Amino acid sequence: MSRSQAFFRPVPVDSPIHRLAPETKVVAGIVISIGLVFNPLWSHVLFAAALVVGVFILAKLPTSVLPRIPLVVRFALFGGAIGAAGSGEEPFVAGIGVGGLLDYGRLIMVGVVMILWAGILSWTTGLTAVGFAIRRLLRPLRRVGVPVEEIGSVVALAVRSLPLVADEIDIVNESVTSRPPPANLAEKPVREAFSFIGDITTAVVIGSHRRARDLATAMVSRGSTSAPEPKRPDFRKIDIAVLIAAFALCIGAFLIPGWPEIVD
Amino acid sequence: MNKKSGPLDAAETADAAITAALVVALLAAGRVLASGSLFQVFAAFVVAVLAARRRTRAVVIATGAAASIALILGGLGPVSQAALAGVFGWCGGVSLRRDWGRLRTVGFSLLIAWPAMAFSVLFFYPAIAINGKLRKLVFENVENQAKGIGNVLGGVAWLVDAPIGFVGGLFGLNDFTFFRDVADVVADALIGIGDFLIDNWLLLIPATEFVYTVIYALAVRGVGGAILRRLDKALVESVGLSLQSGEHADPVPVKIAGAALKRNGTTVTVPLDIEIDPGEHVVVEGPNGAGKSTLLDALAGMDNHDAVLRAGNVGLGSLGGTARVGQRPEAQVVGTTVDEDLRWGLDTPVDITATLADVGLHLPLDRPTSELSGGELQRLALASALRREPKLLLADEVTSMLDPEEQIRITNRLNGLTNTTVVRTTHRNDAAPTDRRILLPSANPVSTVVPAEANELRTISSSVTESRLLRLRDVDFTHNPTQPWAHEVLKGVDLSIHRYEMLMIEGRNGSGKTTLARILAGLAQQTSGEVDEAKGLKRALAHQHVRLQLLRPTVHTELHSLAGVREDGSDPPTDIERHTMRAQNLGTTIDLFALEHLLHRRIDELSGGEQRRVLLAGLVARGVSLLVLDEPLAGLDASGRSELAVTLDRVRLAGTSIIVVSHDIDWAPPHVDQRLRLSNGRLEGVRV
Repeated sequence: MSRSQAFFRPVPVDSPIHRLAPETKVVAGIVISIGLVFNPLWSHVLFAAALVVGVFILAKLPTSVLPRIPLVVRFALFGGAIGAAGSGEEPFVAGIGVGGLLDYGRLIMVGVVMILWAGILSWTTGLTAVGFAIRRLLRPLRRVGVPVEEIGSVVALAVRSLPLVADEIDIVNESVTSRPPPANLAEKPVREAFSFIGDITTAVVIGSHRRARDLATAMVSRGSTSAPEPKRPDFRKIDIAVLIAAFALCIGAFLIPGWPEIVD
Repeated sequence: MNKKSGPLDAAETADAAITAALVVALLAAGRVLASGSLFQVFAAFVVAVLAARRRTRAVVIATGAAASIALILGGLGPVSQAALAGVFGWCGGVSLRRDWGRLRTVGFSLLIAWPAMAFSVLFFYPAIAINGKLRKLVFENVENQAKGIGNVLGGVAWLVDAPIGFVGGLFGLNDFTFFRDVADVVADALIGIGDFLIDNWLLLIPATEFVYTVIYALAVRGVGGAILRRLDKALVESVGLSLQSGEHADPVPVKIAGAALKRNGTTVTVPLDIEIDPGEHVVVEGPNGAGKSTLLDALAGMDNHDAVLRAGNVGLGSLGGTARVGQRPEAQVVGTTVDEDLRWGLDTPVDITATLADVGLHLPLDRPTSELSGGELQRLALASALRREPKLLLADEVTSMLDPEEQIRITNRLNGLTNTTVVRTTHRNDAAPTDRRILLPSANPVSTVVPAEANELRTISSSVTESRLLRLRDVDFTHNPTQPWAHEVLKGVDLSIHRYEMLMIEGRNGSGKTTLARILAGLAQQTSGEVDEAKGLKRALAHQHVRLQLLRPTVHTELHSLAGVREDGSDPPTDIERHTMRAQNLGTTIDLFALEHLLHRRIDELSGGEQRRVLLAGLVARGVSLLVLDEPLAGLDASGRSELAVTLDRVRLAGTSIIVVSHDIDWAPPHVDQRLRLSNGRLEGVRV
C-alpha cells in the first residue's frame, strides 16, 4: 500500500454526503470555492469555514482523516505569522497591534477551507468515481471538439496509477537521498546538480514507461481502454436542492456586502 | 514519429495516463515539500518526453486529465501549474522532436508559453486581477510582512544594542545604536520593495513570467534532451498495441509463416511453419529466449502482423474471440478491485463469484488487486479470459506461481476446454498425452552467470565489530495509525540476524512483507517494539524494480556514484583516507562481481540480472553490511533465479549479510541459513 496517498482514500461509512451523486459534490465544491475566493471578507470566510465543518460532521468523517501538516509547511506558516504579527497594525489588543496577524489568519483560512473541500470530496467519493464525474461534466464540451471521452478514460487510468507512480517516485527519492553526495560536487556544483536532476527524472520516466507498456498490453488483452463504471449513487432530488443552494450561496457571496466593508 | 490521426490507441492512452499521474504526483509532492515551482519543472520534463514521442493529441489529453485531477484535489492553483507544465512540456517536446537550437526553442516558447503563463496567472487568479477584495487582502499581507519583519529586526537589534550601550555608558560613551540603524535601513528597504511590488504588479507579473519562460525553456530543452537520449536505449517502441475489433472474430485456423519474429527490437527466429486448427491443444516448449512469448503475442495479433495469416479478425479481448494471459501476473491486472478487473472490457451481468470459483478463487469482490498474491493474480487473469468464452486461448506460463495442487487443477481445467483452441507455454513438463507439442530450439545462449571461482571470504569493509547485526524485539507496525484506514500489519515480530547469515522471509502479497523489509532496512519506523542495531551498521534495501535505484547513465559512473568514489581517480579536498579506502573497496567489488567487462556499458543496455548485479555491487562497495532484498524473484525464470543465487553468493563473499523477502514459497536461494514465514503479521520459522 502506498505510503503517501492515504489522503485520497474514501472512508467507508454511510452518510448523506456519501449518498450524494459525485457530480453534485464536484460542482458544489467548485461553485462555493469561487464565491469564497472572490469575496474573502471575514463574514464570508467564517461562514465558509462553518459550512465546511458542518459538512465534515454531516459526512460522519472522523477528525483522524485530516492529514498531518508537514514540518516544512509548519515552519513556513509560523515564520509568516511572526512577520505578520510584527507589523503592529490596528486593531490593538492589550496595546499590541494584532491587525497583521488577523489579515494573515484570514488568508490562511481561505486556503484551508479550499483544501478541506477537496478532502471531503475524496474521503466521501473515491477517485475513480470522481474521474467518471469529471467525464460526465465535461461532456457538453464534446460539441466544440474537446476529446472528452478520451480525457475521461485517461483520468480514470491516471487516478488508479497515482499510488503506484507515487511509490516509484518515493523509491527513486530514497535512492537519491541514501547515496553519498556526488564526489565532484564541490568543484562543479551546477553541472553535477543538473545531471543529477536528469538522472532522477530518467529513472522515474523509465519506471513509469514500463508500467505504461504493461498497462497498454493488459488493456489490449481485455479489449478496452476504459474502466467499467463503479456503482454510484443516483442523481436524486436532494442533489438538485444541494446544487441550487450552492449556486445561491455563490451569488449571495457577491451580492451581500459582508463585514468588514471594503474601503479602497 | 507517428503520423496517425483520430483517437488515441492503447499505447498512447497508457502513456498519456501515466504522464498525467506523474504530473499530478509531482505537483502534489511539490505542495507537501513547499517547493512547488521546482516540481513544476520536473512535471514539464515528463510532459516533454511524452510530447517528443507521441502526438500532440496525447499531450493535450494528458494535460487535460492532469488538470482535471488537480482541480479536484487541490483547487485552482494546481490546475494552472498542471496546465503550464503541459504547455512548457509541449514546447520543449516539439523543439526536441524537430531538433531545434536554443535560440529557436526560447523564441518558440516565448511565443507560445509566455502569453499562456502570464495569462494563466492572471486568469487562474482572476480574483487578484479583477477582484479588489482578494487583491486588497493579499497586498495588505505583503505590506504587513514587510513592515513586520522590519519591526522584528528592530526589536532584535535593540536587544543587541542595549547591553553594549549599557556597558559603553559605564565608560562614558554615547548611546550605541549601530544595529538599530542597520535594522532601520533594512526595514525601509523591505517596505520600499513591498510598495514597489504592489504599485507595479500589473507590469511585474508578465516581466517575471518572461524571465521564468526563458529559464524554463532552456531547462526543459537541456534536461529533456538528455533524458530522451537515454530513453532511446531503454524504451521499446510499442507497436501494434491497439484495440482490435471484436467483429467477425475468427482467430483459428491460423498459420504462422516460419519467420523472423521481432521482439524488443531484436529478432527471434522461429524456424517453423506453424499451423493451428480449431480445437487443438498446443503446448509450446523451449528454453528461455527461444521466442515462446513472442510466438504467443504474434498469435494474439499484438505484434508481427505480417507473419500471421488468418481468415477473420483475431478479436482479442472480445466475447468469443481471442483471450490472452501473459507471463508476469502483476502486468495482467487492469482493475483496482477484483470486481472491476473482472468486468473490464466485458461489462455484462454475470455471476462473478461463480467465475472466480471456476479457477479456484474465493475472494471478496471489493478486495484491492494490489493485495493479491502472484498466484491469485494469475488465476484472476485466467478467470477474465475464460469469461470471454474464447475461440482461442493463449496462456503464457499461467501456472508458474501456483502450488502443485492448484497447478494440476488449472491444467486440467484448460485441458477440459473442448470448444476452445488452447495454446500455452510451460516450464514444467505437464503436457497431456493428447496435446500437440511444439519445441522451439534455443535461439542464442543468454548466460551471463558468473562462475564461482573463489571460495574464500573476502570481507570488503565493515566498521561493525559485533557478531549480531540487527535484532527486532516485539515489533508492531500499523499503517496510518491514527486514521480510519488504520490497519495492523506486523504483530510482535522477533528476528535477529548475524554476520554472514542469509535469511529468507516468505509471505503472501499484502502480508506486510514490504513493510517488514523497510523496517529491516531502516527506512520505516516501527509503531512499537525495539530495533537494536550493531554500532556503525549500514543497511540498504534493494527494491523489486532495480532500474528505479540505478540513476547514472553508465555502469562505471553508477558504481562510483553508489560507492561515493570519484570517477577520475583524483582525491577529494578532505577526508582523503576514507575516499582511498572506498576506492579500494570498489576495485575489489568490481573484481568480485565480475563487472570488469560491463564497466563501459550503458545501464539501459544491461539485462535485468546484470542491472541487479551492478546495484548490489555498488551497495557492497559503499560498505553496506546488511542488505535487504524485496521480491528479487519477481518475473525471473529458472535461469534468472540461478543467476540471482550466484550474485547473492558474491554478496556474502564480500561479508555482507542478506535478508531475502519474497512471496514465492517454492524457491529459496541455496545456502539460506533460515527460512521464516510471515502470515497475518506474525513471523514463524519454517522447517527447511
